[in-house]
Parts: sequence; C-alpha cells; structure tokens
Amino acid sequence: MNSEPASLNETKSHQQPLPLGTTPAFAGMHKWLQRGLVVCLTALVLEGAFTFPLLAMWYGWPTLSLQEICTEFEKIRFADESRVCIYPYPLFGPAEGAGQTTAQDQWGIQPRPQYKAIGYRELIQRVAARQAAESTGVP
Amino acid sequence: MSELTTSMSGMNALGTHDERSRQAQWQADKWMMSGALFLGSAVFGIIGLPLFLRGLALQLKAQRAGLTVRPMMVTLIGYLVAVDAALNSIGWALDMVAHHTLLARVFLMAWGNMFDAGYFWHYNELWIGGASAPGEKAWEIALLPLVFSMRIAAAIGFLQMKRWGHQWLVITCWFGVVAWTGYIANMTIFADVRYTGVVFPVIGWWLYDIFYITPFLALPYLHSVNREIFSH
Amino acid sequence: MNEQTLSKQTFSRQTLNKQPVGAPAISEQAISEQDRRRRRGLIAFQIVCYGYLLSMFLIQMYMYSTRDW
Repeated sequence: MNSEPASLNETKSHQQPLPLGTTPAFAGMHKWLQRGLVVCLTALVLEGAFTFPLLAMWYGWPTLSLQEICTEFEKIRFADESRVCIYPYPLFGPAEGAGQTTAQDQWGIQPRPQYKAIGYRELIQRVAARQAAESTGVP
Repeated sequence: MSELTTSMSGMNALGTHDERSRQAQWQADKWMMSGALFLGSAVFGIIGLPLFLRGLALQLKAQRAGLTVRPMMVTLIGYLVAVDAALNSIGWALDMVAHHTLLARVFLMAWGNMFDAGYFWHYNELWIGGASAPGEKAWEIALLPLVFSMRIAAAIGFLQMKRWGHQWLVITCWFGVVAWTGYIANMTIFADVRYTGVVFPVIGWWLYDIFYITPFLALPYLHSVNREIFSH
Repeated sequence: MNEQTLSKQTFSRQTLNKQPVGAPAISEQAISEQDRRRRRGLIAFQIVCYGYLLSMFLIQMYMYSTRDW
C-alpha cells in the first residue's frame, strides 16, 4: 500500500537524489554514460557546424568558386584535364563518370588510385598554373 | 516564463504541480526541439546550439525547482540519437539521390578527399551515382530507412516517455551496433580504396566519426533504466 | 511494507519475482542479485564493443604504417 513513499524516501536518503529511472546499482554507470553523451553531442554539433566551411577553405574557397573546386576534383579524380564540372547537371542524365576510361588505378583485388592527396589550398595553384599556361599558349 | 511557488498542499496543489511540470517540460522542449532541428541539419548547427542549450538550461531549472520533468539522461539520449541519425541521413540522402548537385560534388567529395576516399574514388561513376567504394552503396540503402529514419521516430517516442519509444530505441540502437560493426569491417577490408591518396588517412576518419557511437552509449542505459518510467 | 523489509534482508529471487507488477522495483532499495548480473553483462557488452572498435582502429593503423597512403 504505502510502498511508494517508502521507496521515495529511500532514494532521497542518499547524498544526492538519484534521477528518475536510475537505480543505485546503475548510478555510477549512468553518470559515465551521461559524460560520454555530452561529449558526443558537443562534438557532433561542432562538426556539423564547421565541417563544410573548413573543408571549403582547405580546398580553395572563396578564392575559387564552388564550381571551380568541383571541376578540379573531377580532373583529378578521372585524371583528365579536359573534364569540367557541369552544373546544373541534367536531371536523369547518366552518371557524369559513367564509362570513363581515363582514371588511373593500380587494379587488383585491392584497387589503388594513383592520384595524390590534395594539399592545403593546392587547388588554387593548379587553377593559376593552368590559366598561366593558357595565356602564354594562346598569344 | 511561469514563476514557481513552492507551496503545495492537498490534491489541488498536486494537480497544479503536474500542470506546471508539464508546462515547464513543454517550454524546455520547444527550445530543444527547434535547436535539434538546426543541429541535425549540419550546416546550420551553430544556430541550433544556443537554442538547444537554452532548452537544456530551462529543463535543469525546472528540475531544480522540484518539478517532475523528464530525467536528464532521457533528454540527452533522445536528442543526441535523433541528431546523430539526422546528420547521417543528410549525408547519405545527399549521396543517394542528390549526388550530382554542386553541394554533393563539392562537400561530399571534399570530405572524401580528406578522410575517406570512398566518397572520392570513381565518384559518380556507378549507374546509381554517388559513392563507388565496395559495399558503401549497399550500406546506405540498408541503413538509411532501417536504422536512421526509424531511430529518429523512436527518439521522438522516447522523449515523450512512451513505452514504444523505449522499445524501438532499444531495437534501433541494436541496429546501430550491427551498422557500426559491419561498416567498420567493410572499411578495414577495403582500406586501400578508402585511404589511398587521402589527406588525413585513418586518424582523420576515426577522429571525425567516433562521436557517432551514440548507440553504444545509449544501450547500457536503455537496458538498465527502470522501465516503469516509460508508461505514457 | 513487511514484504519489502524482508526482501531487503534476504535478497531472495523468489521474493523479487513475487513483486506485484505495479510496485517499484526492489533494486531501488538495495542492489539485487539480478541487477548485479545485469550490470556485469552490460559492462561486458561495452568492453566488447569498444574493444572491437579499438582493434579495428589498430588494424587500420598497422596498415597505415606499412602502406603508402
């Protein structure tokens, strides 16, 4: 009958009352889980907020437009300097890379691409070098 | 908003206590829900953070004032699991259906070039478009509807302290364990494709992704909490 | 009330199972044997999960050290 108030008093007799649903057996575990959850939440929020702008800056934005970055990615990915990023891409068109034959890989059961990692704002230099070559090549 | 008085006596006061608790909870939830919506959208996350924290502060205040509000762990797990699932859903939905947008072709590929070449190597070459790493597409198709969207629904029920919310969060968090186990194994087996020519191989990926282990943190709680509190 | 004080002293599983459905769990007053075992199981679960993640990470780190990534 009056079992409920009894159990309430019992939990309150601890130095700190346990949260609802947490039994003494799991008080310690729940405390650690809560710490982990707070860390994860904070990290996810920061990642969510900063990933896009920081990535864009690494790859050359705002000096390069997003479409220029897209184009450079495409040239590197398919090892083909003639490629450009078509935007807007036609709806229901074939995948942009479908049937390509230029990409360089060391094929095998574990394929390995031959492209090199892109350094900090390296794409800007690539674009500048290409523009310089074009302006000297075509007088 | 509403100031709390500590005087309580008789059945009537108990009724107002309940009413006040419900109001305080809803007030806190309004802030936290709008915050979580922004948080789950990744790019606007920074807008969501202060909203969410204000809601959390309101919740703590109500708790300290002696109102019977939702336990902090339930609040944290519910929102975190929803935000985790939303972030995953956005990235993978982009890759599944929007792989030729400028957004996907700049940001997914930038991310891929930096951490995981599964999102750079031969990207947009499969007829289905998007990521081409072995197995990646299959994981997206399986996990997006089965794990992430179901987990968001479960988290909503969980936050409402519904029984089905607790049960379905247990189920979808176990899905999450399967997802992590299989995904990581696939990643390790095809590590050459995923990490060759990447700016920050291995360590970068782990640092970025380790914070998505929320199901591992939620499950011990879900299995040890007194289930009677989920009775709505 | 009587039944609860009794179970607190004996920790018997029978008393635990006899609890009516609506009553608060016995574990609210003392750590029962069932809770003890559940806690052990959950700790084992966490060790397995994090151990698996760590081993995958270490395998990848080993590969990283041997390859030209």
